[in-house]
Amino acid sequence: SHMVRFKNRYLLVDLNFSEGHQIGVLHPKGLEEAIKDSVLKLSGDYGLACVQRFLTVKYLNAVTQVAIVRSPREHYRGVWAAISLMRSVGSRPFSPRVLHVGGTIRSCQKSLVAVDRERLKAALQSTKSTAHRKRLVEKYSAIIKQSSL
Amino acid sequence: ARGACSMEKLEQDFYFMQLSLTFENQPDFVLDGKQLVAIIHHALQTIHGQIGAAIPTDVLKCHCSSPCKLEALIRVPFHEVCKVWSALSLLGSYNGVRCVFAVQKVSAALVSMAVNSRTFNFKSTQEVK
Repeated sequence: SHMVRFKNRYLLVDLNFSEGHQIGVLHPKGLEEAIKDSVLKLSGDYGLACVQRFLTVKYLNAVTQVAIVRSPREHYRGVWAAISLMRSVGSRPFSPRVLHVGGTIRSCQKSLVAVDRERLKAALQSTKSTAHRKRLVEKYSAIIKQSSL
Repeated sequence: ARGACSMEKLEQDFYFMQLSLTFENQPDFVLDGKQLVAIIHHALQTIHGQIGAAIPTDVLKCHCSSPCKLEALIRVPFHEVCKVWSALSLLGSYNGVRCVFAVQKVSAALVSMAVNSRTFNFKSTQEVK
């Protein structure tokens, strides 16, 4: 017989630090604690209790400012709201935005590749020199490759 | 047959709750309607956060039946009654004084609060033949 599955949703979050990308200062656990604090503030003891078992940060890249957060399926909108209302983690101000919601990490990764491609397009449009463009393409190709894991 | 009978729902704006708040010892603050709103707000904030704290609760009737006990009739929005009821049930203390909410009656119709059918005296005006 089949076991009842605990179903989750994976949120692709653009962290958007105000002071530029942060190298090595943010740990997934730190972001997770910050999200849980935000859920506690927004939805109270009950809201936190609903999500805390399965609320985790599954992927965090502080350089590209992207995270994938797992949340229980029934309460992903509450987690989405809590993430959107965060203003700082540790002492670093940021304004996170949820870009994509998926049932699997894989679907978030696919979406992440698409997001990186859009960023590359936007970055290329804003530069004129071919050398700079070449560097940008190289940099983003590496990022896209890394995001696909 | 299905669809032959239609039932209209009553207007669903508010839920009314008749409740009592009992403190273990006499608290050092005055027990009145304003304090009750603050206590309900505190309970909602603890259990349901800022979303709970934003629920507008109104105290329609309030009186102190004893120095430790407050009886009140409150009004909450229809869709938030579950949050308010659960928050009140789970409140254990306020300002260091232990207290308990007892919800006696809950209804979407205010007229239900008019009488208590357990203590109502029926006077027969006419013998039924």
